[in-house]
Amino acid sequence: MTQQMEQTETKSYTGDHLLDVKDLSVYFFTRRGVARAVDGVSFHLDEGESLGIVGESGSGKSVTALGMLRLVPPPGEIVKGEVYLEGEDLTKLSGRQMRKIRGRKMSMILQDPMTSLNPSFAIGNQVAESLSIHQGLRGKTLKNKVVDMLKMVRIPAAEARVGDFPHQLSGGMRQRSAGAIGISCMPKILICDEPTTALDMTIQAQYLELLKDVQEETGVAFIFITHDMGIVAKMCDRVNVMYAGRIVESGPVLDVFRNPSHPYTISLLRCLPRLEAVERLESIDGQPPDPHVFPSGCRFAPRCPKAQAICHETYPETTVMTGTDHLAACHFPGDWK
Amino acid sequence: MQNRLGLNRLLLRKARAASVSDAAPMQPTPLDDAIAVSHKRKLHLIPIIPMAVVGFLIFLAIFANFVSPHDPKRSNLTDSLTPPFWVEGKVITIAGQDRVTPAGSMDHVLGTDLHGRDILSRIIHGTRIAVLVSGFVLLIATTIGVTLGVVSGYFGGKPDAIIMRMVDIFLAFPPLLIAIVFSVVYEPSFRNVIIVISAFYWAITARQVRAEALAIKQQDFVTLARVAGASNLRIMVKHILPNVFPTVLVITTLQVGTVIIFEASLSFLGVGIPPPNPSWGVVVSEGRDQLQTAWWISLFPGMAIVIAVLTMNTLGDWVRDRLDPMMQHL
Amino acid sequence: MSRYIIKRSIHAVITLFVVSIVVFMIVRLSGDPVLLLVPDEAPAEDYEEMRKLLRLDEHITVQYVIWMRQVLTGDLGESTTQRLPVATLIIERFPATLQLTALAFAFTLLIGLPIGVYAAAHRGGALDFLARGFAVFGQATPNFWMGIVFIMIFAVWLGWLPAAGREGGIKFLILPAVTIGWFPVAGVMRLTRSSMLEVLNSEYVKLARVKGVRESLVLWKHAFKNAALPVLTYSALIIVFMVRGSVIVETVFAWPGVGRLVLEAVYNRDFPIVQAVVLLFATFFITANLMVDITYAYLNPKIRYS
Repeated sequence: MTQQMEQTETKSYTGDHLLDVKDLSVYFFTRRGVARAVDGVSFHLDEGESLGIVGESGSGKSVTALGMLRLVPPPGEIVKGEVYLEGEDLTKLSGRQMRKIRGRKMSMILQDPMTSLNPSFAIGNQVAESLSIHQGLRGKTLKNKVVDMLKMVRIPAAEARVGDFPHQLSGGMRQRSAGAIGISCMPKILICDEPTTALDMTIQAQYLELLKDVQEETGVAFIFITHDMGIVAKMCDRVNVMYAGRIVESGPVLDVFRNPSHPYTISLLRCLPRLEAVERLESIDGQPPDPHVFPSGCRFAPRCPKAQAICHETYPETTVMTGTDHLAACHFPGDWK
Repeated sequence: MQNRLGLNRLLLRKARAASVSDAAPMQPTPLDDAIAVSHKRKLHLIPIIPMAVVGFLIFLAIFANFVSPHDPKRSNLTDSLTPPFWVEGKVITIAGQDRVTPAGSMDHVLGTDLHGRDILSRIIHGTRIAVLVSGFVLLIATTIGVTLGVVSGYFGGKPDAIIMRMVDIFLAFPPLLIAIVFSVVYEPSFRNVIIVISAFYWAITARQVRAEALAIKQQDFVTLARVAGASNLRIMVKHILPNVFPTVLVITTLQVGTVIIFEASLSFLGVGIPPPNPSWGVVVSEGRDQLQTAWWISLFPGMAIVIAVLTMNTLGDWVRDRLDPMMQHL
Repeated sequence: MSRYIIKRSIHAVITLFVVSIVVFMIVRLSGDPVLLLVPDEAPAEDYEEMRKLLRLDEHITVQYVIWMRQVLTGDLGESTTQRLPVATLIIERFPATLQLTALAFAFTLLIGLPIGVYAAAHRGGALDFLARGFAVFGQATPNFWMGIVFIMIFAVWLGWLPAAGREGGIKFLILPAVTIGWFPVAGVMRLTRSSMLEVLNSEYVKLARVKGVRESLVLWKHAFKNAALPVLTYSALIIVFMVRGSVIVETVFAWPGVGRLVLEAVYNRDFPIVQAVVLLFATFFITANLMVDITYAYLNPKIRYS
């Protein structure tokens, strides 16, 4: 498990947290009706911290990230909630003000570096773009800064690679370049969307190490969006488990792993391959519910092996588990061993 | 460069296929589906109106001689330049003398041309020409194009290089120009029109089919068939041909409209179907000198072209979206 | 890059060579080529002279070489109806065609590209709806008929614009240019729209937005540069439309350009003119294709380096 880095910096503002998401809801208004992709999600993030958001695809974790950046594609809309960054509510900002946040204070590394780099521009140009937008750098200073960034993500012979086009780079190098773009303006928060799914195993490990190094050098706070509990274990301090648009369990990684309290978390953990016992990888039976018609009770109830009558009727209250920070939304939390 | 686009499309498709298989545990979710649906056109509605129109046109083509009220080629000078039925006679003064222009009648619903031939009958018989020409052209072009495309994609190497060079050359030669040269050296005829148009369309088909065959060749079931000792011919016929079929169907339906326009254009210029055969293009061109007085001669056959092409294009789009939503550029 | 250009150029030359053989062979296969190249009413000596000139007694390859040498030195023969060198006739008519196609080309891109981009950016909006309707109709309407309908509306009915001819200023150009441009505009618009839509859905456009790039730059810098490639390829097809369109539209509007020249030659069975114009158009078309390929390679680094 991750050793949390000691926070030594002093906070420059008087809010509680660096990022505070309150009751965020993002709905998609489709032909078939309203799809509640994110449905009242609250969490927070402190400086230099790493938060994991895990869940199956369709659980709303990526939409949560896009919601924070206010980049939900139509027909999606943020219908409710606030996103406070350093005490400022992002949902109230104008488009122009919001653009100044994106890339500068909060940035994101997209899932697939094969498609997220623009094929028509050299890597150097793509890294340079945010620097020139947000820091107004030009000419030689800009170029030096770009090379510095490429060096920071450990791209060998960075000076020579500046003019390369994405298709000339290997998958790992592209992923690093995407990282360089994300980190270039030293944002407070960097969201990594499925950071390793596009990479093979050995490169995955290297890349995660690199991200840790970057965090040590810059003090950036990470949000990892993933379906892989392994990455959470390796990288995160705290974790939010999302299911069907809601957070069903959250807490410090150690607590959640030692004492998983929501049945969905338990099944996610069972999906992890274990080295000691070579058992067959478990997957969770059934499909996530259709976001147009969520069950009225607990949304996991239809797939839950031990669901009771009450589970199908009312949505469970949040229960405080082991530590004060460890919460689970389940009628029978923790009874699942 | 169409070839290159085709390849890009293939790469894209492969990339998508790969990303799907990588993420095997993550199945498409209802939300993804919902979003995808809201972005797509309604694919599952069968386009009833275009299908009915096409059915009607084919019916007209087959039964033209029973359906049409008059003989399309028989001239009758007393009926010359009769307007459509709703137009009333007007008094006009020519050289100081008052004359009454003829009024329309239900006998010639859409009026007549200079020779008194019934426009409606000419349009109905024109349907027959349009259906025959596009039918023959697509039959010939598809047969040649698919055969050479599959051979080219499957074997690669020398045969591929030669066939693709031929394709390039045929596509580089504007077919209108071939038609013009042909029409001067040989007399324009139904047969020559079909030859000239097919010579262009086979190349388009061959190019697309080749790209498709190239991708299919690399799939496991073809390797398996080869391991099992199937002959090249057998693999091409049994494994590749059925799999290029959707592409061929899409290309073919999308081409019908352009073939119709092409034939009409050649005939309009006098290098296609020779008059007095009532090809739509021929009829439009016959009205060109009477635009001031007899607008109906050129107007109605042109509308027939637009309706026919519009319905075929709609159908083509529908088939494409049904069979292969990734071929958006075709 | 230079290797690619050389390879493409060689292909273009091969294509041209084959085209010239096709034109040459069509004449030889028609029976007696002399009949095509000499006026019907010419005296018997002329026939004999032409027979000698063509060296019909020699082997076919020798005939081809001799013919090719003449073509390359600009000797395209003599018109059988006007008894003038074909080259002179073409040069005389050429400016009219150039004016027409240049205006039509500009019209196509100036209308088609911005509307396509705008329709994609405001997908589902009123202009998108109109543009799509226009594209659907534009692609189903043959330009000869479009031209006739334009004449009916703007010349006969409203009397705003002249129906035919060229002498008398820019207003004579408007209807023919719009008619030629009609079909390609629809195509450019449709293609720009669909390829913009694809690109706007891409991850790299999302990344540009994540970086905080202005929406106008997202559209025109990040998206358009990638979306323009298929459109650029399509502009080769536009040139085909223009060649084909100029023959048709010059006929409809009695515009005295090269297209009209070749059609008149067809009616008069003046083969030397037909042969020359076909060779000229084919050369023009193949060169245009080559140019597009080179530009395409320049803009798309993937092709350049492989």
